[in-house]
Amino acid sequence: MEAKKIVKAEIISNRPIATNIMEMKLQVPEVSSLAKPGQFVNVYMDDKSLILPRPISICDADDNVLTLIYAIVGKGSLWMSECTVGQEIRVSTPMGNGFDLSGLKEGDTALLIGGGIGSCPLLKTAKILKDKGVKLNVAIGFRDEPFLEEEFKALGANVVVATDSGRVGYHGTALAAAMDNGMDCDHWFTCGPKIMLKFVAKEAMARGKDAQVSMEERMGCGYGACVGCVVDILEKGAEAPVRKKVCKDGPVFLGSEVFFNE
Amino acid sequence: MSKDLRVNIAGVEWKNPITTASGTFSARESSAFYDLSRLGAVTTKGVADVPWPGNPTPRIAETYGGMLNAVGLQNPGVEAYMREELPYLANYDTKVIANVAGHSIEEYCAVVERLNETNIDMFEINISCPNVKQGGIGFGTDPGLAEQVTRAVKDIAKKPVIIKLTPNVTDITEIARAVEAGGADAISMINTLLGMRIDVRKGKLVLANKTGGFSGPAVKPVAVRMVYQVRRAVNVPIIGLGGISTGEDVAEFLMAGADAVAIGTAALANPTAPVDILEQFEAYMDEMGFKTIADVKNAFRE
Repeated sequence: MEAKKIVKAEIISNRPIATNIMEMKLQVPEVSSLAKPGQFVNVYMDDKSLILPRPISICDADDNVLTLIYAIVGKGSLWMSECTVGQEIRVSTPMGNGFDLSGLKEGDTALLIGGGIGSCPLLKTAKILKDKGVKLNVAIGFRDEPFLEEEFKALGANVVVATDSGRVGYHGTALAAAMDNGMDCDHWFTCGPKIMLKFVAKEAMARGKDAQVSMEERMGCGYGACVGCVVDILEKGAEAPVRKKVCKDGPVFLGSEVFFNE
Repeated sequence: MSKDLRVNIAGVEWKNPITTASGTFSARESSAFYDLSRLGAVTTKGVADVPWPGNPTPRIAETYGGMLNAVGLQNPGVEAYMREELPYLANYDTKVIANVAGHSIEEYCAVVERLNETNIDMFEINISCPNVKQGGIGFGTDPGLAEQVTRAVKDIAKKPVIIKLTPNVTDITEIARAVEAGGADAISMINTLLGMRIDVRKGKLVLANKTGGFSGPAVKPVAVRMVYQVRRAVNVPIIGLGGISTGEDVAEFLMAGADAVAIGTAALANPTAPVDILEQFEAYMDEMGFKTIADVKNAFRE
């Protein structure tokens, strides 16, 4: 069993990048140097009335700095948004399995489909794939206000942006934008709302591919003890689905194996 | 300062009075954060005779100073528990308490029968889960049924039996007396309080199960009061739990009448909580000049 811990991380920047969307950079080599794309960290609150950690996906990481992008959706993320540069916060070492990029090689094509805040873990994924020489197609969807478009473009990716409102980019879903733009690829990766993941998984299968989907579910402990965040998984060859922990066994599963309830 | 933290719970000696609360501990996941051998005992997640799928998600909701859970005792069944959890725990020098779940007396007994020949040290019978409709809390809220299930388990158990009580009753001392009459070797209390949360922006219940078990620091005064009442109603040892998150909380439960304590939600809020709280408790004992657990308990005066 790989040892895990909670460490102190110094905030080196914490700024809005869109409405109610924040980017926090942490100086925390103990965490950032271990981070794999698609993993997350638990961020622990200083306010003792907020007892549970907030699981935040890893957007980017190098040897020293961990980048988290988070939406302000409640008291915990509001507290994070109010933290200041120089302040130390407590974060866990990386959790979960992350995307499996081992099967991709130079010249392969990869489609990355992100929904809202779910686009974030795809950035680190895209960086690693770029280093492998994989050709990147990225479709990211938002309600109304996109972010991360430039970061993906800077990697040389072919990027389409979609909004539900139609105010910016393609009017519709990220999946529809990708398909309308002929972005089908050898490998599919996706992260976002469950309903989006369901349609991406289906579309990939219809095209003979199996998407790697990063699931979101309400978590308790974030390290596999409480069994709060589960998803029904039917593994190849298994007779019946089993409930797996999103935080520990996931968050990334094969789209063909996930039983979507929505 | 040299201290003796040992406690004897129904004939089983723990090196210190700290165990984990069932449902908040997993051998592999918890041991990734701390050395399980430091605890007096570990209490494993509720195990049934066959795998249980548990409840639909969302199963978790945070509340002010606490949380609701409606996991519904998802577990892989006793065979997987014996194959995967117990051999792993054998690597550690700590007592193992197997928490047992069931929908009927027969189901509880089937698990106890199966675990009798293993290396576990104690049974904890969960007659108090608020998230399981049949069995579970049904047994824990009726003194007659509570006594019946206790007696049935005691008849076959080859290890000491702890009965875990629910606080969701009018008079918990009545249930405590009933399980003592049924032969319980010890009592653990309290399980979670039945709660509910509504998302007022979505106009919907937060938990798919509608209700969930309320735990965490916010429930501690209720648990302390109940331990105090039950201590005055029965003679068997009490394992106290409910919102313990500091070393001083441990002392508070011991003074209320507990003989040992369990750390639950605190370990979800902070994975190393069981050992952190043990260290805080030792520091408290040093500060107070206490040498034994009896010293802590005896320092309480009404």
